[in-house]
Amino acid sequence: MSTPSRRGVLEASIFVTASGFALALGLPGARFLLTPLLREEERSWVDLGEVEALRSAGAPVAVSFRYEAWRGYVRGTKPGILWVVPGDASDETGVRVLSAVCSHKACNVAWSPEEELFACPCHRGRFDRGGAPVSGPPKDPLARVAVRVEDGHLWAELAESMA
Amino acid sequence: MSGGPGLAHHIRRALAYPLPRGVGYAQIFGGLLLASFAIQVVTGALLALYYSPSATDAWESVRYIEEEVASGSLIRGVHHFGSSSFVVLLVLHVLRTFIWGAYKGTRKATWVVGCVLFGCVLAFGFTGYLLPWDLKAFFGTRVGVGIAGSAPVVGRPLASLLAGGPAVGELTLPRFYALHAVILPLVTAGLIALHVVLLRVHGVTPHWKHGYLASGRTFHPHQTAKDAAAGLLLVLVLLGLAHWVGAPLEDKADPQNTSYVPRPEWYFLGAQQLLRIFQGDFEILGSFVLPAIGAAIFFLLPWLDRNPERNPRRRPVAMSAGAAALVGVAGLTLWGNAELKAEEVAMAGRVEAREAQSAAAEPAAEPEEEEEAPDEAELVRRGEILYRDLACGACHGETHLVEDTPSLAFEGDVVHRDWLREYLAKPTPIRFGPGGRPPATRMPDFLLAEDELDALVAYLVGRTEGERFAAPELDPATAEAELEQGRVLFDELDCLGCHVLGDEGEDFGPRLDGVARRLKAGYMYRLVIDPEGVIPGTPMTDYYLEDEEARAILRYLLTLR
Repeated sequence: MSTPSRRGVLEASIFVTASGFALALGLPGARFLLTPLLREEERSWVDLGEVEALRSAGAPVAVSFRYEAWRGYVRGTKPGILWVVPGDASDETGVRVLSAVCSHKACNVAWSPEEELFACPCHRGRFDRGGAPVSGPPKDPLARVAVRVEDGHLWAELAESMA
Repeated sequence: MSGGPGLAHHIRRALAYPLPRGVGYAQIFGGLLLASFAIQVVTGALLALYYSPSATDAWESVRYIEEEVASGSLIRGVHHFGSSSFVVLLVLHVLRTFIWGAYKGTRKATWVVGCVLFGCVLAFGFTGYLLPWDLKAFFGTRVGVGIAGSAPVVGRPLASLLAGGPAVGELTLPRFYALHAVILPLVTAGLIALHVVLLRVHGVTPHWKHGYLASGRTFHPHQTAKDAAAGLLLVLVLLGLAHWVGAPLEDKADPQNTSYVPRPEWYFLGAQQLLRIFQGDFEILGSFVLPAIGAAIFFLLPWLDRNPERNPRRRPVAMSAGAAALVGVAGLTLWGNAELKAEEVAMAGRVEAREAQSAAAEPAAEPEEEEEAPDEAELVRRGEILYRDLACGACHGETHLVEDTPSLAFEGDVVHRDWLREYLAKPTPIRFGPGGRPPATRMPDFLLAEDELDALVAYLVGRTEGERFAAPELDPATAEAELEQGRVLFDELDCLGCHVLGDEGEDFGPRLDGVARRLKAGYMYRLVIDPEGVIPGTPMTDYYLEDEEARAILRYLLTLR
């Protein structure tokens, strides 16, 4: 092993101090930057109205509502919308509640009465009454929302990405 | 002047490098892009003086710029059309570079830096799109973030990082603003400097016919004069567009809207069409694979095209590939536009059908309306429009409860309808400033008509009426005793140390005259028990009252009619 030169030692020390500089700022900076990945998706239960009326509707109904939620530092009542599909035997409530957010690129889908399908206006995705993709780009079904009935009202468990 | 040549002399000298023959108007696009960047920086900095990057205020602040700020719509218009002209000029600049073969030989690095700059301009367009927080902004950004999310492996975390959470919302806006107004301008300015230094090192690419034959002219003033003239024309065109066409501002972002057909900026129409073409399992081809291949070819062009020839006539492969790419992109854009128009027509039909259906099956289709008078929903709707038009949210934004502008988030659970209607008809101060003077900020009288009062009350109260603050059941048997206890407590706690009642008390908190006509019992009850829980940040003292003490005070407050 040769004796390191004065210049070499100085350069090595600069490398060490510069790395310290970068790490001292970089580590907290990276954590700061990556916060959204650490945050859990907010969920809240929302009241969609009387379940009897929703059950007896013929076509899927868009139910608009306001609910209170936190988004980071922002707290407030937020507008939301869900599709309530009547006549669903698979659920004990008799209805199926679907997110209006298209599973493809997150535009809002609307019920198209002439096609009897949910239609997305952005890239022509189509979903059946159950929310399963029928045609167009979407591969995944519309998100199905957990529901319960309480005092005759239909409640849905809404996640941030659903409304 | 003393002390040798000045700064202007040095700048002139630095720019007075010789030009080869055949350089002229075809070479103005670089200069014009520099001018475009300057225009966007200046107008953007001006807009930032009034713009507020928060979901509650962004739309209102843009509307303020449009309607109240002097020359606001002009400045915003120039910034808006400046982004489109930026893309047009960029395409022309790239075409010129391609036809001249100016990416070959020693100029590979200049080309690659230029490609990154192209990406920066598109990123500017995408991030700037969200800032007005209107319908177009909201849904367009949802799609854009969705596209980022479709990238393999890194897609999902990338989408979360872009949106600031699991979905596009309140937290997305500040980060798009940071990207658009801080990070991208810094990166772009640095890259432009590098691009220009590389240009200076390698010189302006000569015409293929003449080679490096000197023209006897210099960049300054011969080329700069052309650039300046074209720059003036550009500014005039942008001002004209801003004045006569104007930048659009749609309704405020509303995730409840299911009848809106989002229309991307024209230069993203082709990309949108790619998303329509590839379906199901092939979706990733349109959203990621094809755009990625296109970008890779664009970046690596100097290495893919090894033909040293620069004369377009002798580069049949490159020229026909370039023409095919141009036709392909233009065709996709036109096709995308046609499909979008078809979608708009289809949506209009769907909305009509839905309206007809709900008219036919009124009670079943709108379950929420059942308990209410038939026109209540319509009143709420008109109230919401009024709320927006009067910009009530500018002071009563829904996110925080401020001392002197109350939040209206749960107004239905706070105030009585009758009181609110009277108050809106003729607002009289509830809170007073020092010395009993009216407060510095106060509710304006909007001179509302009767039907407007009904609509606004329906919207503010009807929409939020619930059971947030349950009123305690008061037993008539104990009324007298409780009322007396309440009176005593009211004195003991020195409520009039902050509140005014009649001629007594201090004017620190709101007046209590007629408070029972104003506030609902459940709200008053919760407020005295847990002030901070009801109004975060309130100066009202928490006395940690027992339930019976709170009931007693409520008894007393209810007598103040």
